[in-house]
Amino acid sequence: MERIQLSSPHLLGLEGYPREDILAILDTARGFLKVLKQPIPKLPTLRGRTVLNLFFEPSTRTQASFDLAAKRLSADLVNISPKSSSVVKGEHLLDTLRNVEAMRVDAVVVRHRAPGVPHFLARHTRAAVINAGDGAHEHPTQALLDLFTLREHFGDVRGLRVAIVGDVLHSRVARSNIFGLSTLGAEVILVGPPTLVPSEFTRFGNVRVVHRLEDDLLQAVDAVMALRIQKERLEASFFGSLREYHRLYGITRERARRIRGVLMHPGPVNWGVELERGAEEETTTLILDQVTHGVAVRMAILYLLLPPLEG
Amino acid sequence: MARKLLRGTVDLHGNPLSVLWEEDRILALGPEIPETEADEVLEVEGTVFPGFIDPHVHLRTPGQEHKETLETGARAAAHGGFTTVVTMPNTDPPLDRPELLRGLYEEARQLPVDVRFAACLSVGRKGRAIPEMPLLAEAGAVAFTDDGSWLEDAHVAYQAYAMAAALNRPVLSHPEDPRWHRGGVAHQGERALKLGLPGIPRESEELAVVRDLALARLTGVRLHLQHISAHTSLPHIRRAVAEGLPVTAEVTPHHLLFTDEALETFDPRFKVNPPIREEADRDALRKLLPETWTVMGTDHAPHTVFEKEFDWLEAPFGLSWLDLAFSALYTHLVRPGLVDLATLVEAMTLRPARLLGLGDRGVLKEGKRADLVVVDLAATWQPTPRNTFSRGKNNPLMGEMLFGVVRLTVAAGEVAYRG
Ligand SMILES: [Zn+2]
Repeated sequence: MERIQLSSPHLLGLEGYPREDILAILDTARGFLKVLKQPIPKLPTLRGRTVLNLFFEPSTRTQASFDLAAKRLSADLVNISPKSSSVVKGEHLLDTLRNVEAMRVDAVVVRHRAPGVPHFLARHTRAAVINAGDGAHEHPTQALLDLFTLREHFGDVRGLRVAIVGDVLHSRVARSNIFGLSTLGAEVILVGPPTLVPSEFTRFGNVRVVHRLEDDLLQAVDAVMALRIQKERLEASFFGSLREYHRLYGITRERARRIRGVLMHPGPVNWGVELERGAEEETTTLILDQVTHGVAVRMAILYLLLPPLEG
Repeated sequence: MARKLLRGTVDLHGNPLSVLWEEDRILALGPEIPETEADEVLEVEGTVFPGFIDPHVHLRTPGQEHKETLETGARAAAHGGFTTVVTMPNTDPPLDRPELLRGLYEEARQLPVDVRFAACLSVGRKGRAIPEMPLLAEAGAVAFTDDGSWLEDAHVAYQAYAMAAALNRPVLSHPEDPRWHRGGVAHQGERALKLGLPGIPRESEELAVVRDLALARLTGVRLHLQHISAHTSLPHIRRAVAEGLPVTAEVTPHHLLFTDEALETFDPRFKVNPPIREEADRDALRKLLPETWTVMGTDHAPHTVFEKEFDWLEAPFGLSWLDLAFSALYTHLVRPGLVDLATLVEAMTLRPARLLGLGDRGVLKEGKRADLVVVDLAATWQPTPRNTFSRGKNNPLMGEMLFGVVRLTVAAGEVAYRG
């Protein structure tokens, strides 16, 4: 497989991330997807390389996906989930980093509740830093697998119209997708209550904001991406009730039937809130493809960020 | 009686200015004072100003001496040319009892500069009841404040402001209504939204300012609005001043120098409350400086390096300023011609003296306290953790080349710092 040199040694976010680099990752992922479909889905490519999963915030799915991607490429893998110390709240970042440096790992996959933590680590380590979600800021690998999924299905992302429905305000998936989709020439329509989808989002890319999920919209767009609604948002008074949210923005079976394009969701789904059970049977659903593609895309990222070992 | 003479110095306009003092009082000023007048001569090159006065510092004592002590804070002040500082009572325990103030004043007698204490506006800073304000005033409280939080309950605030008015002490209000946000850590604007950081809107300040101005009208208190950060607060303050209310607005170095563009760095040294906001806010504050009711307060908030190495959500709010505030403001506002030197100096001397009712200082004049600072404006220095005296090294200008080197600080006639 041809190995393209990415312009940055880290993957911190898709804001300002070059189009050529996104395409290089997607092209490479396509090759790995083929590998994953083989009887022995494993390559020796990253033998001798070590990947550290540094998850300050638990995430079974993303962690498992990186885990599998690293193993499929024969890299060694270490998982660390720092616990809050009793003396001070949170984890002292430089302390953690010194430990990481001492382990001499080649790549650090980091998830943290605070925006900017991967950026901080990247400034202080020689390892390649991959952002696996920093607070409500970015989740570039999720957006890349979404872009990959759209590209596999439609052939090209340019010119697509993608509706992102739900809690955009608190969503790192939405932000990374806004940047990535805009860079590749798609149009993004953000849908949700004004409390969770402020109109200022139009400034971050090729973005429109609407506060009603009309049938016309479901007909007009190529893809509908539903975002996970966290129950805490209800307590913080962003909408009146989960029932109300479901009525106005939930992808019900009936709404799903009106979707002309495809239905996507970054997972895990809160059934009965953003998706009604059974909605996935009413239209073309790419939710499971997203999971499979996640491994291929993360393999591509590890492969492109880690230089081959000499000898 | 020891008479000291400072010579070799010039005034704001570059004209030779010597100063002669005896004990803690200035005896004479002039272009040429004969050496024979003095028992001791200090020959220093640079521009001489009245000692700077900072109405807003956090010396963290008692309770958080790992961040700053009275001693390290006072030495940082002297190094930065400050001869009087007012330290905030959000300590552990909070300064809400006269006994505490008396003990601290006892300790402060040894310090190289005049450290004054402000007392709490409410018991325990909890906003539910007023403390023994007359007894606190008697014990030396120069002002009353719940700085760090706003006295939200308008009824309690009414009582507290009325009491302060009767005691002829200013209220230093931290105007921020916390009900406007949930755990905000940055200016609520496009940049924080893009970066996924919970925001603090301008309105949280604006509406607190409006309430406070109404109470100033009701009670006649001298109201000092601390660390104004939002341009939307300014029309309300201007209107109150025009109406004749005794109101002053505080501007900090960080709100004058930085914008929320710094959020992009995710460097927690820029994390401060109220937050640094947009270019429009910064520029409006710069334009405010010539107004005589504007006072510079640094909100010197020292933290350990360790504490500032957490992520943006966990890191504490605040910047350390005493060592370098004047140099930073001189370098970034005066030298590029955005603010004139006389204005900056007045905002750091005469205006805070008036605010605090300290009639004996803030100007170089016969009979005033011998508080002065000599700055070599053409010389440069690079603040580093090693050459600064505050325990707090949390300032993003650390390591930057700054103009304006303090050569001498004299407080109450004694040399407090000599470089
Ligand atoms: Zn304050």
